[in-house]
Amino acid sequence: MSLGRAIELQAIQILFILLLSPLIKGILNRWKEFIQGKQGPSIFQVYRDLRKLFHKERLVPTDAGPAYLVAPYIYFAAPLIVALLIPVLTTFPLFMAFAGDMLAGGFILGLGTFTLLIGATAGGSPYAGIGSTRARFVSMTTEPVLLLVLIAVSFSTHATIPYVVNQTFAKMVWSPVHLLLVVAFFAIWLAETGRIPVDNPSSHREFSMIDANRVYDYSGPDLALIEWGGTMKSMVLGVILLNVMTTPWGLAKAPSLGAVFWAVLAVFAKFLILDGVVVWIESSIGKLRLLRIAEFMAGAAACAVVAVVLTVINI
Amino acid sequence: MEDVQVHASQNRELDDNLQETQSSSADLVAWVVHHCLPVDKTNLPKAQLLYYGWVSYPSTPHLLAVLRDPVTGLVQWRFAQPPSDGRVPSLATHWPAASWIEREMWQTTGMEPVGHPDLQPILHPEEYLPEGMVTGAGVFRLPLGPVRADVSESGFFLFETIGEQIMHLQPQLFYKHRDIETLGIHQSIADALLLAERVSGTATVAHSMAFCQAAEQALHRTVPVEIKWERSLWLEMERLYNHAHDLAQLASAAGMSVGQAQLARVKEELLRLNGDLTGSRYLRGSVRMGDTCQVTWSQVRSEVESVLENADRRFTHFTNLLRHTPTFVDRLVGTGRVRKDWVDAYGLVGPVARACGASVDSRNESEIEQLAGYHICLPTRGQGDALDRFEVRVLEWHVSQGMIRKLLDLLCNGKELTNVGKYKDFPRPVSSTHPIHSDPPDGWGVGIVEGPRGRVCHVLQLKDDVYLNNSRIRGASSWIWPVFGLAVSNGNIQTDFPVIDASFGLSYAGTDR
Repeated sequence: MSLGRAIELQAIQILFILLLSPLIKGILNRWKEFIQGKQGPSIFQVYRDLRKLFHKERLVPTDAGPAYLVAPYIYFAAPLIVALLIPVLTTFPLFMAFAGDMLAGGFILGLGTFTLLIGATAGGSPYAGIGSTRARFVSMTTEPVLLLVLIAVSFSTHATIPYVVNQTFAKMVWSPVHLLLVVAFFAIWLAETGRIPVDNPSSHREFSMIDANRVYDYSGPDLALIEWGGTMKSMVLGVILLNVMTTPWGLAKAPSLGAVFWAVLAVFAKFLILDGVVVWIESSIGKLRLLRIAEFMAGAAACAVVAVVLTVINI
Repeated sequence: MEDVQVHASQNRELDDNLQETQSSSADLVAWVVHHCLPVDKTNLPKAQLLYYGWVSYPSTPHLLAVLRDPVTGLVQWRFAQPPSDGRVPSLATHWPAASWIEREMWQTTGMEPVGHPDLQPILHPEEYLPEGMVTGAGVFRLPLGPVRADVSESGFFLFETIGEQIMHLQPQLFYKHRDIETLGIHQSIADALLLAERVSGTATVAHSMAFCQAAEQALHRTVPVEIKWERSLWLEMERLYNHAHDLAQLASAAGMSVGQAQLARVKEELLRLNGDLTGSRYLRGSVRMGDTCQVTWSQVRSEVESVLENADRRFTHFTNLLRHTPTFVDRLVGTGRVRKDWVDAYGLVGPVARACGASVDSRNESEIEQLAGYHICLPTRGQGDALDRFEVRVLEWHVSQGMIRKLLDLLCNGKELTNVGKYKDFPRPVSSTHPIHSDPPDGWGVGIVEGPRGRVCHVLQLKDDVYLNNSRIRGASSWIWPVFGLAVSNGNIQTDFPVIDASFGLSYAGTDR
């Protein structure tokens, strides 16, 4: 594979995440409304909202610190950097693949979230404060589970590089360990992307929100970057869930543009399935009490622990 | 002072009435306390306080208390002239239910309730920022409102929290004070009825019906039974869409998007039915003084019944689904619990009181059960939490459905409503048709209606049978609002607030007037 082709493929991966993540969220929103018996917004509504926000004025609280100003950019950039490390479209590693493993990916995404928390509290709104503490609480319960999952992954596949992990999982052909890890990581995905049962993304009530509370002070292009960054973060974690943890099915096996084109369609189809599962969950259960989130994540942790034990006793 | 029941006879002059009904303000407060507070915890209070407050009668402000015996329906009136220095004993020291109205009285008339436990301004909230009540390490004050997310009325809430735990909540309302009571003075009855309809949009029928009842009592007139049936029907129609709305809000607060959308659809279908029948989705103009709404019930009956049946099917299906969703039930159970002793202490009314096991419902106490020839089943629940308020509203929906069917039946088989005539053809006085009412002082009337949120009460005085001389309004929510703050801080966390808010389903405008 020539360097030029590698750069092309890398660029396609980045653009795939950058440009299609709002569409995936838009489809999810429309399906969710459709299940409620409504017509639902256009699947391109998220793009329109972003364009609207980019054309709006940016208002900055008078006493906002520098953390407030840089947070949207870091939050926006973090998922794109992680996209370099993971198999978005190809089964073969691209040149950045060995620059960081899954733990590094987690840290980079975590950096984005952490910067946003600091930035939100620097704005001075009380809602941003309670949103940040709640988001910290959720992270506090998800991060041990994430570490447990990574431990189980490294035990069972003897690797933490995503390109190696997914090939090893593919050879395990749905062993109990594999299934348990998929379930545990799906719970992490729900919590990290602020979906029911952890947070209600369609709520507008100030006192019950978690994620949306953090960005109360942001406006205009800053808010657009955060919204867009949020959809990309959700998609990058989705890529890890679908392509790394679940199955490398559909990824391009040869470094040709044609193969990558079919991979784009296949991965997009996998995301449609994920959207369908999320719609099913969000339409059938409600949001948990705040303190019950710990119990929900404890369930995911139990799956990961069982996976570790099963790996150690070698089933 | 003895417990004097005021039976103003028709032939006495107004001045005689004044003599008999006047007492000192201290006697009046003692009289209310004696009748409305339970002797001990096992007993029920002997009387309901329908109205307590001030009236400008005949020219200077007077205290007025109107009580009713819930068993016999006997209504008792008492006026008291405050001393010249304007210092009156505070009822709120004995009975917290009177707290807000005394604060309003103090701010409006200058009459000072001596010994009031929390004498703060309540009107013009934009000028008075509430100060917190909680001090200590880790206490955090969090303002919410007056402008909030979603389409909600204006209200300010000061939360004092330690972490997520709510220690104290201070609601501050009265942002939409229109002073409808004063606006109505010197208006004709027809114009004042328009004002009464606009007290609170979601309780249009309750307020206009209470106003009409009060005005008819003041005029010593009675309306044909068919008009009463029709008014009761509108009242139940109003209850149906309100309950559907409140339950949709509750589903939305708990994150149940499908339940919310479907219950909101039920509400919309009912609003459209109301619009088709009366020309107003919120039933304005449906209750008229001594007249019907000119709906030919036998023609529209099948349409109304089919719409109601569809709505009922959808409502039952989705409330059942909600009931069987563990996350939804878990979210509601134990949330925003109203303690049982608050029911008497604050004179709670409506579904909130019934969710605490109190069977208070004006529909059971007024004449409606004799009119329709059946008794209303009063659904109550005992725990007083958000789940019980959900359950009570679901059960009341079914009771209202049954009532509407029965009333439709009566209206279609009864006389043609267009031929019953206007009430002015009826002779006056006809006090014998109100055997359970003690006659009010001349020119005064009281109207009591069980609205969607509880008892709505209008007290008014007519001058020359044409103009309004005094008008006092007590909406259902005004009894419940003081308890709302207590229930929110009763061991709940911040994320419970939207659920509690939705489960109370209170009206801001109805309290503020």
